[in-house]
Parts: sequence; structure tokens; C-alpha cells
Amino acid sequence: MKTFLIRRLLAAIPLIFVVTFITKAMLVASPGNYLDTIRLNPAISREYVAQMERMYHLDSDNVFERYWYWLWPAVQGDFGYSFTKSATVGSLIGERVLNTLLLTGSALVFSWLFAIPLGMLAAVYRNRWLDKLIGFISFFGLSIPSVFFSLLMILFAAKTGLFPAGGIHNQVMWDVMTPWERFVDTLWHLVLPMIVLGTIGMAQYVRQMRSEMIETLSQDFIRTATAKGLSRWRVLTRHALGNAINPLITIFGFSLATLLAGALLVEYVFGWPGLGTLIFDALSSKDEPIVMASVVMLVLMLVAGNLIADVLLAIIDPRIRLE
Amino acid sequence: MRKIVVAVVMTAMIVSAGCRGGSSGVVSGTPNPPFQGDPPQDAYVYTGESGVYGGTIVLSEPDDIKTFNIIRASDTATADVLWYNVFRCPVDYRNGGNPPDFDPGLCTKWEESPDAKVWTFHLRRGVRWSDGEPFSADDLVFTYNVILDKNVDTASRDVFVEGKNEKGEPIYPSIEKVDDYTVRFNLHRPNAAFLEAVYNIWLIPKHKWEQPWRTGRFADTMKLSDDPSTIIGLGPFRVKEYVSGQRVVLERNPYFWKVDSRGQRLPYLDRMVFVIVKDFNTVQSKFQVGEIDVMPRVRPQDYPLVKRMESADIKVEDIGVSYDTNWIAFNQNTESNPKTRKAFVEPWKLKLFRDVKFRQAVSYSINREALANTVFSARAVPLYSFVSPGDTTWFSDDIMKYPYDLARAKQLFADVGLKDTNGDGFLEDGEGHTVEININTNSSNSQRVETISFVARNLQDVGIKANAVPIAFGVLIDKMQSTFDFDALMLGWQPTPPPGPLGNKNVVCSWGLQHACFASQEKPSTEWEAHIDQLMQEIESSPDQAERHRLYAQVQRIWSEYLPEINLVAPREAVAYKNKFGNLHPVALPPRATWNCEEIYVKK
Repeated sequence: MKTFLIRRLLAAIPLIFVVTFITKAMLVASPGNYLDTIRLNPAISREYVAQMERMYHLDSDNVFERYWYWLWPAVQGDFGYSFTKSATVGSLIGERVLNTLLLTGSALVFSWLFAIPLGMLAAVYRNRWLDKLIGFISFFGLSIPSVFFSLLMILFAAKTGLFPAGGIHNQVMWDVMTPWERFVDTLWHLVLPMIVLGTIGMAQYVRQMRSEMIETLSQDFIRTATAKGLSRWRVLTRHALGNAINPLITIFGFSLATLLAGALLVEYVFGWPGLGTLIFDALSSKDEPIVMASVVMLVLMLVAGNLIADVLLAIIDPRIRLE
Repeated sequence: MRKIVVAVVMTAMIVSAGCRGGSSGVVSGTPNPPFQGDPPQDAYVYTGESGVYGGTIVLSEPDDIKTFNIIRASDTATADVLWYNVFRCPVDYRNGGNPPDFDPGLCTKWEESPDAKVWTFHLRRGVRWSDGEPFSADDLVFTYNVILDKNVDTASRDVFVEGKNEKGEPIYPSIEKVDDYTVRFNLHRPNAAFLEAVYNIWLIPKHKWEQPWRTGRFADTMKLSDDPSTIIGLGPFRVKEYVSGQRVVLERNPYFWKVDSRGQRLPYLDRMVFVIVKDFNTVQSKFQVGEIDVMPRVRPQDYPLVKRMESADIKVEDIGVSYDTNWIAFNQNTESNPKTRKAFVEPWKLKLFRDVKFRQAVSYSINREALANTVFSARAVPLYSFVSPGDTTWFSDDIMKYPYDLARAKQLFADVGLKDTNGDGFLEDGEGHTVEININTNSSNSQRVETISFVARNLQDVGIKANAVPIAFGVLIDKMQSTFDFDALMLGWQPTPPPGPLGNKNVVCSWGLQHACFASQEKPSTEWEAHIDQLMQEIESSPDQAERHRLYAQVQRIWSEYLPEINLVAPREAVAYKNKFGNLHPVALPPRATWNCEEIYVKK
């Protein structure tokens, strides 16, 4: 187990090099740079622009040179300063990562919490009205564009006043709140974006869970268990579930990438200050240090997610050994 | 069972949190945080309507701020949050004055020598920084020296340039401390607009930043990640909290140097909160549920929708024509690419673009009224020069106008030798080239994309094969300022206060980086460009204000005749806000709503 973990983590290192190099190359190759908006300011002279270009090493088009300017401090743990904001990349990105993890994590929990029982119900009541209803919900979740769904939710919040219209906490009262109030406030803001992001993931899991369950239920050992006189509840939870859930965990590893990509849009519409909004802004303003550091964070999150999926699989399925 | 109980408790919690509602604090009548020390002996006395203490104003801001270092800042979000509110210049500018004009602010008065070469500023005595340290002439001298330091990256330095010395280095006015409360600027040549330049000196405390500056670490100061209590200014508020991508909270500066006519110290509000929300739909929702008090900028296309929200508590106010302008410029660059030796513009096209009659014909072909009514939701006015009619101080109406006139346009096109010779519906020049023009703008701005499609259709109506081609912002700026490979491009300018000739120098003068039709010319390529350059120079050195207005009107006249930029429309501005605030008088000049933040109060 330990050697497996170490090997997987080491394999992530070349991956990070390749991904960051490609990212840098694309940033260099794409026209324009961070100074574009500044160059359009009528109050700004050529000399100032030239000074800034030298300062940020934007005066060279050599990919290797530009990559080196980033890489050398980065391997020493220094991700530098953001171009657009006068703050270290670390200070900007740290909290954003936590916010994104909070949103995606709770969305994951939400989708699993609903997907497994719904998938099981759909399989047990196959082709009955309950199955069709669940099918409808999951197709709704699969097909609705997340931006539209987010806007609908915000509209719902604005019309009813039950939930806040976006954001992560009450921006005005936050500094006078007690820790408990802050916790509740964050939770309250989390509900709608979590539902949006969770529903999209849930839809996928429900379909998968249903088909796995149907297959499992038709197998001999289920008939044996039922014949032994076990209750239907026990057969389903103890015998069928463990077998049916196996492929879902494999999907979980892959679906992390989709989840993070989906989070970008949802974060943007809800004004959720996560990694998604940060990357979006950084890309549109060509804030290279932020883009690079975010890419590193995303790769790490994906590697970690896949690793967790593998470990979970080994725990649940005794046939799998991590060597 | 236990699970059900937990679920019920959670729901109750969430609902109770939801019912708390209400964004701004109540008006307490007592300042919190309280004032400290005594008001300065020379306090500025504000004579307008008095208010009561307490409360918060919550504003939306579309972008995150970039820095607390006001000297290095160059973006609108940072300006919206920090200018006026946290930092002040030696003089103030009342955006909402009638007319908008300079105000003594931190000075008791200023004096200009008859030849406009010596400017003396008398500072108020007893003023304190937001950390309680005394403010004096040393701070002004220090800030000015920081701005002039060529190792400091600041856009403020350029406005002080007075020309070049023998070595080709820029020269600047020198500064001299006469006594602790008097500062004198000695200029090399007359500059009647020097106040406009002084309005770029956002004062920073010497006692705090001299050490880092002397050791070359000025760029590391006042970072967003720094402790907010180290951000010290002279504005009515100081930074309390900054959360990246979410909000900036300002609280009362307890040492602020203004009092009202009843002797109460300013500001009235306890706090200002800027909530950073990018998506305009979300901003509207937040405004509707009361999480935001003021939407400082309602775009023309959103106005009809926002206007419907108006009620007893909410006001959606039209604040007049914007200072913003937009335009299309044809490429008049006569030079060649130094690498390929190929001309930037094909010779037959260049001949057309440089022909003033061609540009005038294009201007007559554009139906500005219809453009305003469709793309700008009937919230824009036609624009024929680079100064918007919204700028009531400097706008001149004595300019050439180009009302929609197809016959006139066709006549002018015929005059420059364009004719449909092969009967395909498009005009050709004498050598048989079909006149095909690509109009570029940045694809990220949907309003601009719609505008160029509209203009392209207008041009097709008169036989010009015009295509609307939206491109990435970076590519567009490259085309305008360094690669010069375009036919026509469309963009807009957003002037910052104070409006006037100084802020437009780089746009109208032929050497300017933002002179879009032919940027950064070594020497003016036409007589009218040379004339404009010379007039702009005269405006700067003319000590007589009326004379400066006359000269600037002349620049606008030449501009409208020769059309280096074909100006299109100027949008109307609107601000949506809660009715509960007193002294909130939004104007079209940024920051629109909070230019008098120390005077705003919450009505009881």
C-alpha cells in the first residue's frame, strides 16, 4: 500500500512539469499579455508600458525562457506575485482552494447521498412509475445547462428571499458575527450552488447505480440470500449494494475533472470565490503566475482524487490489492 | 429518529439565518468607530445639508481591486474603492459640483503666478493621517518624489512631463518646501492646467513608506495581502478588511479633517462596503433582495429592466450623458513593417483611408439614431467628436455634424472615385479593387460587437463591403499599437476625473500611444494633426481659462472635420440606489455615486 502511494505521487511530478509547460507555451503563444488593458488607458505612455514589460519578463517570446522564469522560483516553493494584484500568489490561491473544496466536496456528498438510494429504488421498482420519475429527474439534471440552472436558482433566491443571491457569506455583517453565526451563514450560502453542482453529478450516478443494481439483483447470490430467508432490506444493503457500488467509485475518480470544470461556471454565476473564478479572471487578464499556480493546484487535486478512488476501491473490494 | 431531529434542527437553523435579512446596520446616531483627537484648527467646513452618524452603504463593484498601493494603481476597480474614500490629493475635485470643479480640500488655498510657472499650495494645519500621525508639507514632497522616481512603476508620472532635456530624458517641475505647511512647484514652462496634474498626487505618509522607498522596496508596500491597518491615508475612510474576490470593507477614519456647519466631524457613515460581483444578473438579484444599496452603473441594455424595480424605497436615476465615448478609426499608418518591409496598409486602401472625404462619407452613412435606439436601448446620443456632450465643462457644440444622409455619403464616395463598375452592388476604386473593409473590436464586449455589426450593415447599404470581425482583446490592442495590420477598429474611452485636455493628450496628439488611426508618430503625418499637436501645447501653456476653452473647442472642431476617429454615440448613465440615503447625488463622472462619500448619511 505504502509503495503504491509513493509511486503514484512520484508519477504526478512529471505530469505537473508537462502540464505547466504546455500551459506556459499556450500563454506565450496566445496574442497579447497582461498589459493590454493598461496599454488602452489614455493616461499611459509607451515608456511606462515598456518598463512594465521588462519588470514582468513579458518582453521575450521565447517559451523556454519564460517557462524558466516561472519554474526556477516555483521549484523552490515561490510562486511569485500576481501580475494584476499586488499580493503573493500563495495568499490569493490558498483560500480559493479551500472554498472550491468546500463547494465540490459538499456537492459530491449531496450527489452520492441522493444518487445511491434513488438508483437502488429505481432498480428495485424497475419500469414502474417511481423508476420513471427518478429517470425524469436524472435526465433533467444531465441535460440542464449549469449556467441556466444557476440563474434559475438565483432568481428563486431573489424572488422568495429564502436564500442569499450568491456569494459565500454575508459581506456586510461577517466581521461582527460569532463563529457559530459564521458557520450557519456559510452553510446557508452553500445550499443553492451545492444543489446545482450536486444535481448534475447526481444525475450521472443515478443512471449508473440503477443499471449496476439491476445487473447485481439478477445474480445467483442474491437469489441464494433471499432463499436463506434474509429480509429484503438486508439483501439490498448488505449483499447487493457492496457489489453494485464498485464501478461507481471508479467513475468518481474520473468525474472529479468534470466536477471541477462544472464548478467554474457555477462559481462564476454565484459569485462563489473559488478557484474557478480565480482562474477565469486570471485567464482573461493573462495573469500568468496565477494561471500557472492554479494549474498546479488542479493537477494535484485530480491526482489526489484518483488516488482516493483507488484506495476506496481497495477497501471495499477485497479482490483488489494495491501493489 | 436521531437523524430526523438533526435534519429538523439544521432546517430551523438555516431558515432562522435566512430571516435575519437586512444588509445595512441601523442608524445609531453615535459614530462607531468613534472619532479620535480634536479636529484640526484649520478644519474644512462643509456647509451643505447636515446628517446623522451611523449606518453602512453597500455598493457593487464588478471587479476585484488590484492593490492598496495607490501610487502604482492603474485600474478602475482600485480607483473606485480607494480614490476619495481612502486617499486624497492636495486638492479635491467635486464631481457633482455645479459646474464640477476643483475644491480646496487639504489646502486652505493655492496660488498661481501670473505666468502660470509657479504654483504654491497652502496646506491645512493640524491634519492627521488615519493612524494619528500629523500631516505636513514633507508628506506632499515625499509623495511627489516617489511619483517622479523612475524605478517606481506609476502612471501618474507622465502627467508631469514638461518635455525632454538635451539627453532626451523627460523633465519635470521641481518641488520646494517653503515651510511646514507651504509647498511650491516650479515649472519650466507655463502650465495653466497644473491643478489637473496635481490631482494625480494621491498622498501617502512619509513616516510609513520613506524607509522602504529609499531601499528600493516600494513595490512591496501596501500589498493586498498586508494587514489593512498599515494602509494609511487622508480620506474619510480607512481599510478595515479585504477578502480576495469578495469584498472590501472601509470604516470611518477617526482623524478625518472635515466638520459640518454644526461642528460635527465627518464622515457620517460608519462603514462603506464594496461587494465584488462580476455577473450583472447576480448584482441585480442582490440589489433586489437588499444585499446591495447602490448599483453605481446600470448599463443601457439593463436599464429598462432595472427601471421596473423602482419603488418607494428604490430610485433608479438617469444621471445624464456619460463622459465615455466610442469610435471607429481607419488605419492611416503610412509606414512599413520593418521586418517584412511590406506596407502596413495596402497602398490603394491607404489612399482611401487617408482621404478625408472618404471618412466623412462613412460618417454620413452611419445611422447613429438607429444605433442608439437598438444596441443602446434608446439610451445614447449621437457623438461627433472625442468630447462627449456629457462633459459640460469642455464640450463644444461648434463642430461638424454628420446626420444620417445616404445621398450625401454616396456623393462623397463618388467624389473620391468610388463607383460600382462591375455591377455587383459594391463600390470599386479606379483600379478595380472592391472596397472591402474588416471592422475589428474585442469579442468580449457584446455591445461593441453589436455596434460593429450595425455599422457594417450601414456601410453595406452604401456599397462598401464591410465585415464585422470581433477578435480577442489582446490582438486588438496589438493591432492598434504595434502590428498596425487592420482596416478599421472600434473601441471606446472612459475618461477619469478631472475631465479635460490633459487626460486626452495621448488620444488626440499624433505622438500618442492611443492615437488610434496612426499611433506613436515620429512627427505629424498631416497638417491638421500638426495643428492639433500645436493647439494642445498652447492649451497647456495658456494661463487664461477662457482662452484654453476656446483652443480646446478648436481642437474638437478640427477633429470633427478630419475624423481621425469617427465617433459614434455617447451612452446615458444611470444609477440605482436605496432612497434611505441623504446627500447621495450621483453624477455621470466616475465614481458616480460616492464622490462625496464623507457627506452621505442614512436618513432616520
